[in-house]
Amino acid sequence: MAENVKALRRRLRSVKNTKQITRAMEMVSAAKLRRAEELLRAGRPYAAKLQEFLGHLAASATTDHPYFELREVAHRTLVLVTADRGLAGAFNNALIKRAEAVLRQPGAPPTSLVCLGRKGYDYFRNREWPIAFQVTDFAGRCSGARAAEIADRLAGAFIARETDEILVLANTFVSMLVYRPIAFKLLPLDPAELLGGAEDDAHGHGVHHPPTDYILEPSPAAVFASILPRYVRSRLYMTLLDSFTAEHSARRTAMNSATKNCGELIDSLSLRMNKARQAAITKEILEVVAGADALKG
Amino acid sequence: MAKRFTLQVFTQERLVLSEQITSLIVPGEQGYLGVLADHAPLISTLGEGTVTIKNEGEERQARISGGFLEVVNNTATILADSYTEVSPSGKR
Repeated sequence: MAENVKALRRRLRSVKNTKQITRAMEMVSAAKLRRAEELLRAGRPYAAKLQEFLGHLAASATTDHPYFELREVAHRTLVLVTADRGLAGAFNNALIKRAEAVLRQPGAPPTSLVCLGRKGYDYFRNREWPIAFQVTDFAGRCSGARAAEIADRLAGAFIARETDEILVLANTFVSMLVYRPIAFKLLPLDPAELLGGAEDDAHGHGVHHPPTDYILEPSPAAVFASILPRYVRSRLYMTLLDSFTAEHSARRTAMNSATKNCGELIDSLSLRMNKARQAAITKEILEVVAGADALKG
Repeated sequence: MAKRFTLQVFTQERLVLSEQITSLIVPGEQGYLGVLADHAPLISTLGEGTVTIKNEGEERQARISGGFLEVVNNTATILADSYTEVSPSGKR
C-alpha cells in the first residue's frame, strides 16, 4: 500500500513553516549577537584597566579589606548565570548540569543559589533548592548600574557573614561558534590573582609590573575601599555581557542547524510524497485500462 | 608650548576619550587636584564633580560621579562611574 499522500502533504507544509521560523530566529539572533558583542568589546577596556590598576595598587600597598578575608566555608553561594530563554542548544542544560554537580558534591558545605536568568531559576525552583534570590528579566540586556546593584547585594551578604564564599558559574563567549563554561570565585578575592593579573580578558595588561612608588590619595585604605567594590561589580558586569553574547551565538548556531535539518527533512518528504502521488496515479491508470479491457472482452 | 600628556577616560560601558592634553583638573575625594605633564605616579579616588581638561588654551568640562585617577609615565587614566561632557554653551 502506498503512503497516504494527504498526510505527507500536511506534514511537508508544517516542516516548511518550522523552517521559516527557525530561519527567522537565526537572523534575529545574528543581529542580537552583533549588538551584544559590540557591548562586550566596548566594556573590556574598563575591566582591563581596573585589573591593571589593582595590580599596581596591590604591588605598592597592602590591605586588610574585608573582601580578602578567608573564612572557614560554612555556607556557600553559587551564582548561576543562564539565559532567560531556551532554544539555544545545550547552552543552558550543560551549565545546569555543572551547577548540579557542584551542589551535590559530596562533603560540600550548604550552598544556596543565586539565579541570574530564568532557565536556571526554573530548573532549581522545581527541584526545591534554596534560592537566595533571582533575576529573570534581563532580556539580554544589563546596564552597568543593574550589575552593580546585584554585585553589591552579593558583596553585602559576604560582608554580613551570611555566606563565606561566592562562586560564579557562567558561559563565556569565545568565538562566533564556540562558548565555554567558566567557574570562578567572586569573593573572597585572591590577592595572588590580582597581583598576577592572570585574567582572561586582561589581554596581557597588568602582567607583572615593576612596583612603582605611587602617591595614594586620600589614603591606601580609602583607595582600596573604593576600588574593590568596583572591581567586583565590573567582574559581574563583564560576566553577564559575556554570557549574553554567548547565548546569542549558541542560539544562532542551534537555529542554523535546525534550519538545515528542516531542509533535509523537506527534501526527503517531497521525494516520498511525489513517489506516493506517482504510485497513486499509476494505480488509477491501471484500473481504468483494466476496466476498458473488461468492457472490450 | 606647555608639555602634553595622554588622557584616557573609561566608563564601564566604553572608552570615552583618549587624547593629548596639557592640563587636567579632577575632583579628588577631598578637593580638586590638578595634573600637569611629568606628574609623580599617583592613584587617587575621585568624588562627584567637574573634570576640567585644558589643551593649548582650549578648555572643556565634564561631569563625573565618582571613580579613580591613575597617573603614571605621563599617562592619566580616569575610570569613571559616569562621565558626561558639559557643552561650552551651558552653565559652568
